[in-house]
Amino acid sequence: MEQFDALEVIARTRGKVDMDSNVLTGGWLFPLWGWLTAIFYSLAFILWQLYHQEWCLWLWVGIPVVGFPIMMSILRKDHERTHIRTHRSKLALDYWIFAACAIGIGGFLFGFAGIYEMAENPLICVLVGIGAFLTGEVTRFRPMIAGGLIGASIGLGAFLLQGDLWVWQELCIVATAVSALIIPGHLFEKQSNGV
Amino acid sequence: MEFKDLDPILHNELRLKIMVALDSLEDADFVYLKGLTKATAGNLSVQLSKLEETGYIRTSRSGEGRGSHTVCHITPAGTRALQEYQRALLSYFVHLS
Repeated sequence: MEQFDALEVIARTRGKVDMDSNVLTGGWLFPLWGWLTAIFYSLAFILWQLYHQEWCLWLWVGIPVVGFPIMMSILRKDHERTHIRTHRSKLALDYWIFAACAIGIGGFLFGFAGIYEMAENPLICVLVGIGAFLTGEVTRFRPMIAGGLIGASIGLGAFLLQGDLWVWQELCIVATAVSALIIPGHLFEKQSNGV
Repeated sequence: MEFKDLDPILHNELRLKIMVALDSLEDADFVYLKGLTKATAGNLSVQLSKLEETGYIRTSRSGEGRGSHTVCHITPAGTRALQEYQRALLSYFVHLS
């Protein structure tokens, strides 16, 4: 290999990797968690309207209980697909891990303290919205950036739903799941499948 | 006119592609590198082993057989070597101009 060829190899490879970096691997995770969140929180809202029992507000625990086994089984089958992680996408992944832990731990703390109507649900919306926004930025996928901003805005609006209105915060989470996870996730899958 | 020596490990098209890709990424798996370099699985494995022996990359493998998944990362020594290689390469063109 001549020196000039080496320079060309470096430039071409960097260009190709840069293009590939915009591809979101594991895009199916967004619809998966989005649908689970929407279904469980809608169910919690409906059951609360019917029974006004505290157990209705603990239905969210079903999201990780159902979601994790499904995610792990798909990840196991997914090894044939290519995977790359950029420095920026690692940041987004680290953020999602932080957000998932914060939502899980926060859910138990707020739940045991019996202060559902405070900040928990709006914070979930804001955390999910920021996560979708960051992922959209990393992958330069505009629908996800927009969905993330809408989700975070819904979260900020949900802080206003206090007093008797607090239970409507559950539907704000559903709206955030639809705007930040389900719609951008399906659009991404559609785009990557070339439909 | 004095030229800097080019690192013989990096002065190979396939190994250079691998190193440049890993330098731009946090990590990449075998399947991605195979697609990027258009190399055969056997050749890619040999070059990855050579880079790992030199200490320029680190690989981690999960699973066994067909289901195994190999992920490659560049090491700090690899990053330094690539920077040095690029500097040496540029010095040729600076001297020529």
